[in-house]
Amino acid sequence: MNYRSRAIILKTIDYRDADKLVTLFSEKHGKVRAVARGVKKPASSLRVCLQPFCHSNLYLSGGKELENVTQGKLIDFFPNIREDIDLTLQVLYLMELLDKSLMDHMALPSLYSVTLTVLEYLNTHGNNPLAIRYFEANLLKYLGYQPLLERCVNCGTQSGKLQSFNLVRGGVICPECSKTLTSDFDFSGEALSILRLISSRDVNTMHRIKASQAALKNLEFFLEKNLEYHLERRFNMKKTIRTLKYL
Amino acid sequence: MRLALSLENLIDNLQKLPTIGPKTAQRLALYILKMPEAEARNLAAAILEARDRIKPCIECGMLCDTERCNICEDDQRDSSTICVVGETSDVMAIERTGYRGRYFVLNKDFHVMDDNALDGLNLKLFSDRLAGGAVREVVLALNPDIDGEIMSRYLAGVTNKFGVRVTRPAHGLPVGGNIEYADEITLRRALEGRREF
Repeated sequence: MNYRSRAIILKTIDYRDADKLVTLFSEKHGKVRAVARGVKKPASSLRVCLQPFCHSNLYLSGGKELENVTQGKLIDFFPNIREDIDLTLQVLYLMELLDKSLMDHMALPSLYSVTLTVLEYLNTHGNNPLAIRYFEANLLKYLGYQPLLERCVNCGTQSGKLQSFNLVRGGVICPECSKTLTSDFDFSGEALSILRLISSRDVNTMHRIKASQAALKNLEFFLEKNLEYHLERRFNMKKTIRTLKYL
Repeated sequence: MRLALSLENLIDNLQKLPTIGPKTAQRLALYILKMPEAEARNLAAAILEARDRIKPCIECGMLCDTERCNICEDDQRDSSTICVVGETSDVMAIERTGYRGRYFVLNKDFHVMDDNALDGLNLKLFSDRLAGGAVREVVLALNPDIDGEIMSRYLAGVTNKFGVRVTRPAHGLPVGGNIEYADEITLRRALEGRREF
């Protein structure tokens, strides 16, 4: 099968002498693994459009086991993200999330669109932790693990302090239900409000939201724990980001 | 058809080498079998000897057959500049430019998205050289890709602690190249780094 699709490059690994194995998130076919032949040679025109988190228009053809990238044209390489190494690391973390959560050939055009919007936002507005949290929350939503935040996941009550979270049930629990159900995570009031806000808003409004460092940390920890629980994977980029941060 | 076990074993082992596919491995294996016995033994002995004798230089990490490589032994070289590269093959490329400083070779295939990407780096050796006080500049000449950029950032962090100047090679257009065919990223960086003519 030969086809053309817009795609975001998730990762590349060396394969044979001059080839690379590329994992990409295509608009029409979801996550695809393909071989890009000769791409490590300086004269290769494919080289630039297969850099991690580039947005490219690619031509793919079916191979015996893996597909082949035959032609490509760069749409956007998000230059401002690449200039900022901290932001680059954050975006690579988003690519790792997609790589580890998506199944091959499962098209998710809405998630594709969200990814692109977040990349464009970060390229325009610079590093904003809320945009990363927005992406994580949306990823959970499109994978079918959106946390229930408005009412108690067990009894349905909307009253009382709903700040404990049960991972197995996937939602907040009221003080009464937390006597019988495990509370895996405790939200701060501010973090919960922000999570409700980012779950209902567009990414382009993220820079208008004010959040304290404590709430951001609380939220980051919650979303990381949630993603690890549902995907049953750990994320290498998180470890690398922390190592570099504390240098 | 089933091949003789020893021939199959040879083909399997040759296939582990980079750029060698099943057909090339088979062709090489049959060629080795047709070689005069002395030549085949020489080849096997050369592989074993190189494997035993070639070790990373204790100072810069470049592969060599002595404790210290000939670049580290050369007193005429500028000890105030260290060029950090990924592999010994990068040293050979930079040597062709006429660079006369010292080197530090990482000898590690770094991929930022791998598990424990920053582990296994011999940074103590690097820090020790910087702590000596003779180094005034570190040139981070790693591959200009995402992995190289991030490793450079990591090493720049280590270097900054010693108050040593950190530089890296410029990004630009290749000599004899054609602007029309240059990719967007290279062209953008080349324009950003333009110099007075």
